[in-house]
Parts: sequence; C-alpha cells; structure tokens
Amino acid sequence: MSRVRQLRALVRKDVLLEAHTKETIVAMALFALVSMVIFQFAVGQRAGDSSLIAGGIIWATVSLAAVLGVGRTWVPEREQRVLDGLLTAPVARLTMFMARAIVLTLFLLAVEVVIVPLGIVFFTRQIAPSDLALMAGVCVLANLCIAVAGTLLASMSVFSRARELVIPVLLLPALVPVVIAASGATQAVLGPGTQLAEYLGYCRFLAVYAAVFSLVAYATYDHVLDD
Amino acid sequence: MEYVVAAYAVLWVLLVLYVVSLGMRTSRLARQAELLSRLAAPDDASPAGD
Amino acid sequence: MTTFSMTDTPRAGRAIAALGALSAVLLAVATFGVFLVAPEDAASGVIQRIFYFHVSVALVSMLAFMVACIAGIVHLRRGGDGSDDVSLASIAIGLMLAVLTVITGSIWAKAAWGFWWRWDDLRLVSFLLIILLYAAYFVLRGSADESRQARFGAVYAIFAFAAVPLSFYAVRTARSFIHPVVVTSKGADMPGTMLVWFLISVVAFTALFVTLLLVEVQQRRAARALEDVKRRLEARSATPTGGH
Repeated sequence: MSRVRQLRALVRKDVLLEAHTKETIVAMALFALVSMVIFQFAVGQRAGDSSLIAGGIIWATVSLAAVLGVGRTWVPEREQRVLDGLLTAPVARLTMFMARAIVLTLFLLAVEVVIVPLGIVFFTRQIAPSDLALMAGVCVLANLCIAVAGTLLASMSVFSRARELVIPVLLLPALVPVVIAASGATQAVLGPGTQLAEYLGYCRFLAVYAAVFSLVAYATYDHVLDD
Repeated sequence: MEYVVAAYAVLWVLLVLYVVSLGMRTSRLARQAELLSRLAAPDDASPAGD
Repeated sequence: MTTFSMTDTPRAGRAIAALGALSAVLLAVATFGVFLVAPEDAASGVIQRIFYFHVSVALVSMLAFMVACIAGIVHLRRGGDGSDDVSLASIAIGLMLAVLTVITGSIWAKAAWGFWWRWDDLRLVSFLLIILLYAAYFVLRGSADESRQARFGAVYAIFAFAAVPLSFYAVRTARSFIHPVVVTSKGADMPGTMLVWFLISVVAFTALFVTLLLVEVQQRRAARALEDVKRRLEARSATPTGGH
C-alpha cells in the first residue's frame, strides 16, 4: 500500500517537474522531428514509395529521441542533489527504479503522440482509425522495452564520467531488436493492407523483450543503485 | 582456395596479435615488478610488517 | 573462483601449461583434418572448409559471453575480484572471437556470392550486433569510477547476454515475422566425417579460449598484487617511521 503511494509520489514529482519546465519533452520531440526530416532526405527521397519505409523512419527517430530521454533520467536528482537524499530515504530501490521507468514511458508516449501522427501524415497516403489504435499498442509496448532497458543503463551511467557519450553507445545496440520489431509491426499496420498476424507476432516479441529485461533489471537494480 | 587460406590466415594473425598484446602487458608487469623490487631493496634490512 | 579454481598460483600455472599444450595439439589436428582429410563439400566446394573454424569460433565466442554472464552473477552474489577478472577477460576474448567470426564470415560471403557483406546473411548481421553490444562493455567500464567498475561490469555482462538471443531472433524476423529466415545453406546437413572434424575444431577453440582466459586472469591477479605492493611502498615512504 505505502509502496504504491511512494511510487505515485515519485512519478508525480517527475511529471510535475517536467510539466513545469517542459524542457525534456520539447527537446525530444524537436530532435525526433529533425531526425525524421534528415532520414527523409537521406533515404526517403530515393525510396519511391515512402510508405514502405514509414515504420522504419518512425522508430529510428523514436529510438534516437529515446537516447535524449534516457540521458535525462536521474539528471534532475543529480543537479539538485536530491539523489543522495533519495538513496538514503526509506524508499525501496525497486520503487525508485519503477518510478523512473514509468516516467520514461510517459515521456516517450508524449513524444510519440506528436511524432507518430506526423510520420503517418508524411510517409503514408491513407490511414484507417483502427490503424491508429493498433499503432498505440506498438507504442506502449516499445516504450516499455525502451524504458526498462534505458532505466537500467541510465542508472549505471549516472555516476560515470562523460555520461552523454556513454548512454548512446550502451543503449542503441540493445535497442536494435526493439527497432526491428516495432518498425515491423508498424509496417504491418501502415503497409498495403493490415497484416494482423505479422503485427501480433512482432508485438509478442516486444512483450517478450520487455519481460526479459524487466527480469534482468529486477535481478540487478539493487547492485546498480547500491551506494 | 585462396579465400579459405585468407580466412584462416586472418584468424591466426588476430590470435597472434592477441597473444602479443598479452605478452606486452606481461612485460609491463615485469618492468613494474623490477622497479618495485629496486625501490624496496634499501629498506628491506628491516622487514616492515604492514 | 568459478568453475575452475584459480586461487593458488602453482596449480593455475600447471593448468595453463597443460591446457595450452592440449589446445596446440588439438588446433594442429583440426587444421590437418579440415584441410587435408575432410571430404570436399559437394554443393559449395572448397569454400565450405571455412565453415569449420568460422562456426567453431562463433560458438566459442557465445560460450565466452555465457561464462562472462555466469561470472557476473557470481560477482554480484559473492563479490570478490576473481569473478570480475573472469568476466572481464571472457568478454575481451569473446569480443575478439566475434570479430573473427565476422571477418571470416565476410570472406566466406565474398567467396560464395561475390560480395563482402550481405544483410541477409544472418550470422554476419547477428555477430555485428553482438560486437556493438559487447564493445559498449568497455566503454561503460572505462567511464565508471574504479569502485563501481566490477559491479557495473557484472550487471552489463548479464544485461548483454540477455540481449544476445533477442538480437539473434530479431535479426531473423527483420524482413517478416511470420516467415522468418530460418536456415542458411551453411552446413545444414553434414556427413559424419565432416561432423567429426567440426567437433574437433570446436573442442580445439574451446581449449584455446580456456587457456587464454586462464592467462588473462592470472595476469590480472599479478597486476593487482603489484598495485597492492606499490601502494604499500608509497604508504611506507610517506610515513618514514619504519625506515632508518
């Protein structure tokens, strides 16, 4: 009971902080938008039918924006010297970890609310409303994957020198399967004719990924935040 | 056949390079050990027990 | 510390000597067999001989990453420098073997199809991902404080090993989930004699891996002991009570 309350309080703290400054989400969304434009001119221009690469561009973009979001994990705490307080406070490490993962999921969702519709408008011709619902499913699953893996890696780099160099190098290789599956699922939705079996298969893979790394995080978070 | 030999050669060259790097690390350790033994020599008349 | 006891130096030294000799003999036998005894593959001809060491090296690199993961778990459970040494050395050797897998695989692709790289060659692409994944290990260790290197290294060794099967599977479904690319033409069915030489080379590279691992671990132990002595000497010269 009290653990749920702690979790809610921690999530609320970060969401309110972000709602106040908006710096992380705005930067992530702008960065994602710029990356999308760059991808379009780098590969889309010569691709002919750009609906074939829509899913790929959307998720390459989101995964790059995720690097920014993951990089900001723990930063408010570190900058305001709250981290030491939090680590000595009677809050379970697991609760802190889950709070960070939830916040990261929410941030990514906020970015996707902007980026995914834009991507659909930019790269596809027509969309059914039911397709948007399917896309929302991919977004939630992929965000969970990114959040779990990202929070674990960010917790290790928070104490390291040159964290903004370390995070992309650590995070992006681990995210390659997520990008493959998420863009596969997106392509199954946005491509010619919705292919539900393909879509469900990729979604199942994303769920397995999130579950596997939740287990890894559960087994190791104590050693990461153990200071 | 040339490709097979090339692949095999690459394998061995990399392994040998690895062993060489191991050897270089060993020689650095040896150098340090020598230096330390020379530093420790004058004091060794009275064995410090810390 | 882990499966092999490396705590007492004379025994470790004897183990290195024995294993080194064993792997030398096995590698010589494997080379002889692969080039001179094993039958020519009917379908792909002489190029198929790359298969024996290409696949052995790939398998042993996976073994190395598994050892690193297990050593990481042991380190998180019990602490101690020994398991961290094993984990770090295993990843270093495994990474080298993964690079070798990609290079020999690329040469194979060139010989078989005329291109150095094919994105639909699953082993090449998977191992490229593995290399990126494990190269990050050294970046993480390099940037962490000294007191956290072993702990974070152990966590990352576990994390990366969990990512390995997921990456392999994801690469197979990159084109389509329902019709994944399952089998490449490489060695799907091997006649018995080929299998024997293949197994001999797997064992040979495994023995080589264990030898190199033991050497690395011993070296790290020696380096730490030296550091220790150096620190003690510095402490003694800083407080000149014990001297003349």
